[in-house]
Amino acid sequence: MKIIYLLIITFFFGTLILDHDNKGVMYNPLFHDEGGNTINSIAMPCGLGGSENHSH
Amino acid sequence: MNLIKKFAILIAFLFTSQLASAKTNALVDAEWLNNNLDDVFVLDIRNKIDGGSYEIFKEDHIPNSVHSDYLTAGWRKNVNGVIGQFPGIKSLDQLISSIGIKNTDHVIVVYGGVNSTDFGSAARIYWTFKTIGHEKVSILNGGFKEWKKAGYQTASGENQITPSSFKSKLNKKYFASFSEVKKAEKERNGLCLIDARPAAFFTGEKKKPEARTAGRIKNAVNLEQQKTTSDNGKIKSKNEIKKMFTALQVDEYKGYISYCNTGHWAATVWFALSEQAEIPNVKLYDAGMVGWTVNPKNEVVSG
Amino acid sequence: MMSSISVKLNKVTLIYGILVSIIFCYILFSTIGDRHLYVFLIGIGLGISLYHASFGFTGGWRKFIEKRDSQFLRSQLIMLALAVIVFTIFINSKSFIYDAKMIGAVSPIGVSVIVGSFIFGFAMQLGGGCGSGTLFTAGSGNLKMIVTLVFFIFGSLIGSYHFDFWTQLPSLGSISLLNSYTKIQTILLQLGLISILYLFISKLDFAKKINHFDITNLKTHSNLIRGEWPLIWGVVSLVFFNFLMLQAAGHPWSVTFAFGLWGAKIASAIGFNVETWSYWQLSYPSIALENSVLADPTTVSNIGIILGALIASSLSGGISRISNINKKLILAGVIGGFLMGYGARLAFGCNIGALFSGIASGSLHGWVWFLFAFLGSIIGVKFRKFFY
Repeated sequence: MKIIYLLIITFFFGTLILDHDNKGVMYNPLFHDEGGNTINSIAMPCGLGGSENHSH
Repeated sequence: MNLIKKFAILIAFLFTSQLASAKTNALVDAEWLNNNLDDVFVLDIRNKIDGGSYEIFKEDHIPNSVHSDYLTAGWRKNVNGVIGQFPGIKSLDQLISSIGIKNTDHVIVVYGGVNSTDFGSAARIYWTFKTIGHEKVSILNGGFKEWKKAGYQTASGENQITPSSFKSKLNKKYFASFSEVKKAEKERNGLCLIDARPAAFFTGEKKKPEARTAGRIKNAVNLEQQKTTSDNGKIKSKNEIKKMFTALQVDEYKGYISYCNTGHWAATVWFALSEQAEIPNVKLYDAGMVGWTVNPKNEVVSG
Repeated sequence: MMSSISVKLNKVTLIYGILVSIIFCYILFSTIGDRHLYVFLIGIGLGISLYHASFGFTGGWRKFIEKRDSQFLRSQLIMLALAVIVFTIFINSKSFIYDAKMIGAVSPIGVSVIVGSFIFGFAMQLGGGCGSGTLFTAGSGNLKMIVTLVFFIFGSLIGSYHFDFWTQLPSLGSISLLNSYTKIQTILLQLGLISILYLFISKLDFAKKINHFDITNLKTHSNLIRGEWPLIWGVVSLVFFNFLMLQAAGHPWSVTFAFGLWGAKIASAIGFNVETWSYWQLSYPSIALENSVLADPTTVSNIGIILGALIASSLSGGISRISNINKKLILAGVIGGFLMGYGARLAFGCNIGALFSGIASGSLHGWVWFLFAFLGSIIGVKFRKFFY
């Protein structure tokens, strides 16, 4: 009975790790960087501009 | 409602549905637009990139066109700290309905016509429409400048808008997710990354301020966006684009993902490859290097 | 006396639990970040504490409703009192671990939380466990609880589908005491309310003379590793670990978001367009759906709780205990699990995320949750008799 239990939770952990491998981590919700989270303006796209950014 | 009215509505519906099923071209020229002005919705997106704005639109624009500023109206949004991203269908429904575009409209995107980055605005909006399931969209090649050059009539004044209720239907055919980009390794699974930025960004010499690290995603090839347009901001011909693509020596792969810093330049390259050269399976990764570098554990290559 | 088979089973399970934990530690630290590792370790601590203190909200409420035995309910109030003090002091200041502000668990008060918490309170009596209870019981080898958990996930998914509807019903919005009162006032107000409740419950208790120290009494075999803990150890551990969670994650402990996420990822993999549902277009849910599931802090702490309970139960010989499974109990688990998942989504959390963390954060929705969940439990306890 308990072997079934261990099999079930192994399957569960396995699926989690599979999803992890498949999706990757784009945003780390717990990552905090001093400058990183303060961008909130619509910047000029791609290579243009810096200080002329304006928010909408 | 009497029988005649019902019949008229039925005929009108059949007529418009026939119009709807006609295939639309990715590009139109000024002459075509002038001839079909009454049957399309002209969306003028002039903004700071081309030196334009709503004020400039008010002075001079294509008759019956409606203005929406590409940079400020909400076509791209800051999503979780990453700028310039696809804002989501709810937000787009609101935006598009507020300028009066209906699901049945054939939208013509008119940019300034100044340079390649300016074309990128039109390409990005074109891509946005396709991603929300609106297939009937075209770009006026050469933008407003082309219209003026051809000498057609223009108008002035404010936006004349009848709000509509536009409904998006998400279509991820041209939308590459982070996990797709992460897994793209052309030699192994045939998914080829195409970096659309000028070479200096590709090698890491230059960096966009919002990206954490300079460089590119591993295994990407470089197709600089400015090479896909002529000096006058018009996209090059199908043959010219195809030649550029062949020169990259990546024909044998099965899928391509165009990226840049925030999905603007990448839209130009995406349009050039997918819509102009009609290469199949080309997608856009709109978060770009800014999105890729949010998590410092994502590898960035330079040199 | 334990048979040699059960001793072996416990050993195997213990090694399994430790190994899997080490694997997760490695994956989290090397591919995501150290804060995720801390959250995982805190989860393990919570799993161990929950298991040993047998800190079940569900059973405790039932004991009071059926028998007017207030021991567990009073210990929960003491836990809330401690948490209120600790959290009020530290919320909105910077974490010790990172230069980031710690925020509380604040949610709106409206029809959604009222209906959701009532359903949850009702359902937890059927399911035999609450948010944290389901997790740690499933982690300690109970197969029936796994059924409950599966349907909890399903219920959360359906709840997210209807989320838009419920949250558009009348609502007062979020009300946090910290926005209107100073920290001292917030502490005093909440402690005042808790004291009144404590006295009221003590009065209702059928024991002629309540021994308030029944919460602190050491049991005959209280042992950190093996034995049943006195309730006070459980109280202190849970507050301690929730505080650590606040420091490491920047927000308090929560449980049920992960269930909805797991359900959404499964549905997405099968082919449903979950990403077009309005709940999954909200800011954090949309990232969580796109991201690896291990990047979600709630998922990470839930895994920790399961493994912590697994380790704790194998150390105390619990894995070999036979649980009786019959069809009626399974049915109760199915219905209870599903309704708990649905209710928790509407109520912005379960007993941990809404009640415990909400009240500790000074959010009034926590009190509303407490009240209506308790009312739901009163009804639930009656319904439970059909199954148990």
